[in-house]
Amino acid sequence: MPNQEQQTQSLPPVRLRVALHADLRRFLPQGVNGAFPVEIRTGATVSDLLEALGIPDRETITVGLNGELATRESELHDSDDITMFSPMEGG
Amino acid sequence: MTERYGYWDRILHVDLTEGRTWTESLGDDWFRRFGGGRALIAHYLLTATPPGVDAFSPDNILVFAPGVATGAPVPGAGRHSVGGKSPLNNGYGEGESGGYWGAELKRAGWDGIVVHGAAATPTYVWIKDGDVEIRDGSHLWGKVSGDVEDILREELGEQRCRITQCGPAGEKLVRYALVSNDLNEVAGRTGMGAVMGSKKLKAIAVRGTQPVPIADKAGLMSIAKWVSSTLDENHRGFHEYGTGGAMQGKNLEGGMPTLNYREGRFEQIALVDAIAVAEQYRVDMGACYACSVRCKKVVAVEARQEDAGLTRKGKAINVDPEGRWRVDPRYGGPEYESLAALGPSVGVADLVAVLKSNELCNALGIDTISTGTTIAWAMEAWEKNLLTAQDTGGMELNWGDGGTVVKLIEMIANREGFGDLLAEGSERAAAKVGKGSERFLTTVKGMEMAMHDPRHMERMRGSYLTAPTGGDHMQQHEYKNGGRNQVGLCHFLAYSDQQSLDLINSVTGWGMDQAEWEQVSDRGLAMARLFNMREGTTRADDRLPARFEEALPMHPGLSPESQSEIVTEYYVRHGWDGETGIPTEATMNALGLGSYKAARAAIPV
Ligand code: SF4
Repeated sequence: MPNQEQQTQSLPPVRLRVALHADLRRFLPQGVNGAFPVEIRTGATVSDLLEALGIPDRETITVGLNGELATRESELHDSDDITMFSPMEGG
Repeated sequence: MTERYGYWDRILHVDLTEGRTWTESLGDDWFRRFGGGRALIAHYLLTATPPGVDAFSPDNILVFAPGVATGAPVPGAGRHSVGGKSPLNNGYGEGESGGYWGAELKRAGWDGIVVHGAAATPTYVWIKDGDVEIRDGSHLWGKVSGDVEDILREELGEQRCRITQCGPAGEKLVRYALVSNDLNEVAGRTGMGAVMGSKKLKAIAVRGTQPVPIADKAGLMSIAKWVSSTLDENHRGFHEYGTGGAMQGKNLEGGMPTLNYREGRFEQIALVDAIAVAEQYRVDMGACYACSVRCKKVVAVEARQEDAGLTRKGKAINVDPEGRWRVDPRYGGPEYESLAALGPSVGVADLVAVLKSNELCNALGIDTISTGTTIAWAMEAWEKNLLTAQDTGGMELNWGDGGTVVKLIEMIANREGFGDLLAEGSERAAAKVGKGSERFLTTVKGMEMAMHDPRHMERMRGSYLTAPTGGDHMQQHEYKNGGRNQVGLCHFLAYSDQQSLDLINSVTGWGMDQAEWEQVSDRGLAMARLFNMREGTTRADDRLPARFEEALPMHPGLSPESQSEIVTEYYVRHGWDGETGIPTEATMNALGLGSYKAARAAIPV
């Protein structure tokens, strides 16, 4: 029987739409301005997504998953909408 | 004369009662120990006003206070403070502003202006380098800021002069009237515009042509280069959107002040955040003096399709879909606080109404935070039938009605009808209305809190509880922003502690270390505290309003005990008495504040 790792690797990846805001916009792929598609392995979490996008995980980054607050452990599913924000204050 | 960098050791005094001006030297030691900004304001409040002075009395002063860094050619060094006794909090008053005016004042050879007395008729002051004139300003009285700027530049024949002014609201003594400069920058908080109006001082125009002397130009240049070459890593969000680019994030976390802080989420947040502004109505980004971050939104809206065109830079100007308002780009655009206070806080999801409200607040001269929050309080009172059509002259005050907010802003600024009550600020208005309307105030020390919910944001708790001005979010109650305040450096710059210190030392050549730098801020804080206590503030005023004891869906309420712990820890850490918050004698001596002991002795027991 294949172990869990092999099982998830053989599943098709999940497709997400990701939007990066405020200071996180520097991690946007070249030429992208708005939301962009990302594929990630089945079973991946918000933490894994941050890593895949090369965003150093800071406590202050807020992640929205389909319009609700996500945690780093929230699991991602096909067609999920992800929004990420760094804090901006003042004014 | 010693070599002097970053300042001139020249304070300009203007006595409007007597119509005379003079120059004062505070000495080199003063600038190194105090920097300027808050400490300059507090210095004159403690030494040049009588205890219990009324904010609108000629005995009050109005201080324009840049710092030793203001005017240095480096990003962030375009800030100055405006202060005096506040008609809103009845104690220490100060607002801070960016733009170009403060740097221009420094370049004219001045480290600050102290305005005394009051003129008999409207007046303005014209400063061209060392020449200072008090002039008749009758023709400016009643005019909005854009008109005043046009008239003065024309009559002075100086298109490049920089102008600071109080709007019509300051003339009418609206308790949260602001002082604006360069039309789009404001010292918004604590009602300094009303103090200016009470002195019948409409404007101060300045033209300065002398670069501020810098000790280590190469060192300063390398800091400026660091900002521009690392813009992407350190200031991308600010550079692209200005403040307000992360409102959706705050909303997700349940910390967006909504409907008078009653809720933490505003469903239509994406309609009124800085992203929406950028996509629909932003036509440019502006900057403050010497700053490559350029975080200042400029917005434009046309009321009629036939007027929609392009800006000079070729950017399309969009039209109000309902054909109601034109929004003039001269007045800049809304910062986060304004978007939140004139949007979610009053339930408004109508972006053009928010932009119009912001423009009117700037042009007429009222603080967007106190304005939005006072209106939010009134809307809640209306909802609960504590205010009725009889009180409002027939107006309905429904949540979410942007047209009502726009109308109320004009009525407040002109103290017209029901606006006269709101012009007093929410705390005084609630005292008049009574019937329990005090229960949903969101003021600290009489000043409306800014748009960061302390239940959501832990680090705002100390700021609101202990800031000398009251409900202030700038976190200038700690050395980091407190020190920046006193030297005139913008908080948004991502300078590390070491870089800030390097910047100050490059400008001044002082070679300060971290400990000395922290003391600069501690002095300013102790002095502002002394002034507040002299004027009657006590520990009982260092508290949050009852609304914040209530829980939000995602954040627990803040008990009085938990607030008290924060306050005690703060007092003790700053060397103030752990019970009363009076700076102890030992602290006064350690900070070298002996010359302010008379103020300490005048604290009522
Ligand atoms: S970061 Fe923004 S507010 Fe600060 S000095 Fe620069 S342009 Fe002005």
